Amino acid sequence: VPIAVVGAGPSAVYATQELLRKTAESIDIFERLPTPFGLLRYGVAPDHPAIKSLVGPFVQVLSDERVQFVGNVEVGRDVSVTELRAIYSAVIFATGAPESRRLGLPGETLSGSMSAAEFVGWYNGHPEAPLVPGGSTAAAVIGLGNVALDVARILARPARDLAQTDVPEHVLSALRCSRIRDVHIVGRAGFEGVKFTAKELREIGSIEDLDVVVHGDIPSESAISLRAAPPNLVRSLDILRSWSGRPRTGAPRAIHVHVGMEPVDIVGDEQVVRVRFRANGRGSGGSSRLELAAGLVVSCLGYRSAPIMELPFDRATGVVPNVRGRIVRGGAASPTEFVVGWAKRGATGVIGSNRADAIETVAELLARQPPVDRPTRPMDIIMHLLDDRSARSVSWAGWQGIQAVEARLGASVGRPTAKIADRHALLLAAGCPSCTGAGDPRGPDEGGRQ
Amino acid sequence: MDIRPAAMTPAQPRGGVELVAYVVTAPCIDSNDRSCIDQCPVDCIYQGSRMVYINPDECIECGACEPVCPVDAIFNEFDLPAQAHHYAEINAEFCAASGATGGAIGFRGGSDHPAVAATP
Repeated sequence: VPIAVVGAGPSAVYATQELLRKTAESIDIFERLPTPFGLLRYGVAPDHPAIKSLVGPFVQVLSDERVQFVGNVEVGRDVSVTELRAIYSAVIFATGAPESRRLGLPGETLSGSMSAAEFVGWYNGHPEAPLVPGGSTAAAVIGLGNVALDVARILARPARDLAQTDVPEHVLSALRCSRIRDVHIVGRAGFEGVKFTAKELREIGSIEDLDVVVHGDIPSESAISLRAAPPNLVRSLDILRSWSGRPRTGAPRAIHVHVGMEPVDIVGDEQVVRVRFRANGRGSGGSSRLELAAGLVVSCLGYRSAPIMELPFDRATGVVPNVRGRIVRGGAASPTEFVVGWAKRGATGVIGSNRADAIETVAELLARQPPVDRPTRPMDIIMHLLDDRSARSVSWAGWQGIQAVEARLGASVGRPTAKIADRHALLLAAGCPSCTGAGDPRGPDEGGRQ
Repeated sequence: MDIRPAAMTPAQPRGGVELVAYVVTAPCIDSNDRSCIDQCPVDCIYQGSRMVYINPDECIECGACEPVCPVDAIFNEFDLPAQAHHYAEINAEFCAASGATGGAIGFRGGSDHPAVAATP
């Protein structure tokens, strides 16, 4: 009896891989966007090609003949959770953590103030990402983790470094025209509270035409060893210390690191013009105030899950309540509903962390599978429902069409591939008969929706 | 029942870029913990008999393995402690000698690197 997976990001792919290994079932994957792979496509930075290369193994999993990809279909809108439960023997939710934690500051809604998800979505060509206003010579990136490093790096590194990546053309143009000279990474924690991974921190020191300026006094090696700091923190502080007090080289751009700074407000009429911070005592040796004439502010404070209609949600922890991946409804573990990935454990860890997580959820699913009476060809029913609702789904062949169009688009400007960010254009590409070979009988304008 | 393993070998290993790799070091010997294996998205952690080894040509340097190791045996090559520098070669040589390549699923285990086998 088929199993439904909601979402097509890394944890969905690992759950699917594990189901392929451990069962003979077929697996239907429902994805809100026209494209698969979630944060691998829309989160991982384009200048991290080794991680992006995981697309290869992910394609292998989803092109298995027992797997059906149904893109551009949102569970909770186009199909309900109740319907999925009635049609499938089990449903695994791999819906991730799409919302960003915000500062809750005055001015946070001005144009030029963005969340990490919005900015990361922008440079990765997410169809729902807003545009990034240009023109500014400085940017503030709030947060002391790897996402803050990603954002700062993309803003500060020479645009030529991204020419051979898959970023959309409009992103490459915007970065080529960027007037940014200074990118300030600013955090509330002190140096002992930085969350950067040493490897990613080291990376910003190796970028051409870029200086790194560390503000404030970094605790000495001996002070840190007394506090039994974790090895990664010791390494990160060693790296920051090696940059501390280095003279500027005359490079056209700089990334600044400031710690112990509390954001006070974001100032501007419609557009951000200034961001103000005040020292909170957790840093030392820096100034008591920091005022940045920045037209762009990106808050990178972590992600959280969003409640899904008809599913329980724990607002305090920001996850779907579960025991080893089995969803808990009204105090009782559901026999047929499961959760995996960030929606299960919160927004922590890297792509590989989802593998062990998916193995746990699938083991739980297989341990006690109640006998259920379900239709053997659920996709027929689903397609019927989608037709009735004039929802246009994107099949695996449609996704291959998108990839083909993106490759052509890239080739036309001398790049290996260039992402399509516009949702309508993605749907056109998914239905392009000369790209998919088969074609879609319906054009995106008939029976399509915005 | 048709149960076929889905292979996880990247079509273009390491995205065509030069990387350093993660390296498994001495604390792994006889620890018998294999948590790292389930975390690796490219299945590049291979079992010897007394420890596991990372194939440096397949590692994409994602870092998923490092924090789950209960004995802190895994390091980025860049961060290897001085006394463990030779483990970069030990990992690579084990993989070359045992045919530990193409994904750990289906790998039957290899004989430990001589330096590891000789560890008391």
